[in-house]
Amino acid sequence: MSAENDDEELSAYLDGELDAAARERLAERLRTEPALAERLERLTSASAAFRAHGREPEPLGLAARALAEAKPAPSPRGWRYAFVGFALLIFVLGGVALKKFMPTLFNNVQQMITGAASQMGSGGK
Amino acid sequence: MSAIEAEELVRRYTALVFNLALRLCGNRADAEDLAQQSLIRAIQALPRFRGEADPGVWLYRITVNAWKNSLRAKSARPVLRFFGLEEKEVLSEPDLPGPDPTPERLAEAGEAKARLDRALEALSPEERAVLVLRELDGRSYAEIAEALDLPLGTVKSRLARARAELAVRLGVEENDDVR
Repeated sequence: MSAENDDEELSAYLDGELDAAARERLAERLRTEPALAERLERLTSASAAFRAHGREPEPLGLAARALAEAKPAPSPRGWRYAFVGFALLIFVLGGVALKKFMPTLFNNVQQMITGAASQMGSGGK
Repeated sequence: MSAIEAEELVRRYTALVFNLALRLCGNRADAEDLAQQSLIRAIQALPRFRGEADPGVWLYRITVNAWKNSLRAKSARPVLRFFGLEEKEVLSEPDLPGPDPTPERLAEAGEAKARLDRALEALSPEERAVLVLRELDGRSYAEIAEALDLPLGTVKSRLARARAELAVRLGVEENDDVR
C-alpha cells in the first residue's frame, strides 16, 4: 500500500470513519509495523496542533453587524396578506372615489348589490 | 416558522464561519467580508430553511458558494479592466504570517501558532477548509462532503494530505529550530 493510501486510512482511523473490518485490519498492522504507528502519531500531532492553534478570534461585532444588516425577506404568507390588504384598500378607495365623482353610477351599483343580496336572502328561505 | 432563529444561528456559527472564511480567503479583511455576506444571506434565507439539513452544514455551504462566486468575479476582472470597465484594485496582503514574520507578530500570536500559520500556507484553500470543519467543528466526513460539495473520497484524501503536509512542515520547522 502507498504512503498516500496509508495516510488516508490512518487519518480516517483517527476520526473513527473506518468500518469495523478496515479498523481491525489497520489495528493489526499498527501492532506489527512500527513505522506505520509512528506515521499515525505524526498525523495525530498535526491534528492536535490545528485544534490547539488553528482557531482565530472573529472580528468584534461581526455577528451584530450581520444581524443588523440582514432584514429577513417576507415569507410567502406575508406577501399574501400584503396583497389582500392592498386589494381591500383599492376597493374602498375606488368606492369613495365613485361616490364622490359619479354618484349616479355609485347608486346603481349599490342598488345592484343590495338587490342581489336580498335575492340571495329570499332564495335561502 | 424556520427550524432555527437568526440569533441562535449567528450565536452558534459566527466564529466557525469566520474561521472557514479565513482559511478560504487567506486574509482577515476578505474573510470578514465573506463571513458577513454569508451570514446575511443565511439570515435572509432562514424563512425558507425548514431544517432538512443541519443548519451548520447549510451555512458552510452558503459560505463556500459565496467564496467560489467571489473567485469567479475576480477571474473576470482582468477582462473588465482590459475594456476599461473596472478600476484597478489594490490587492490586500495576506494576514497569515509570511516566511519571515516580525518579532511582534511572533510575540503576539505565539511561536506555535505562527509556526502553524506558516505550515498552513503550504495547503490549498480547500484543504484548509476541510481541516476547519473536521478539527474545529468535529464534522463527519459525510457532513464535510455535503458542506463543500465534494465526493466523500475527496474529503478523505484531502484531510489526509492536509494532515500529512502539516506534519511534515511542523516537523521540518522543529528540526530547523534544533539546528
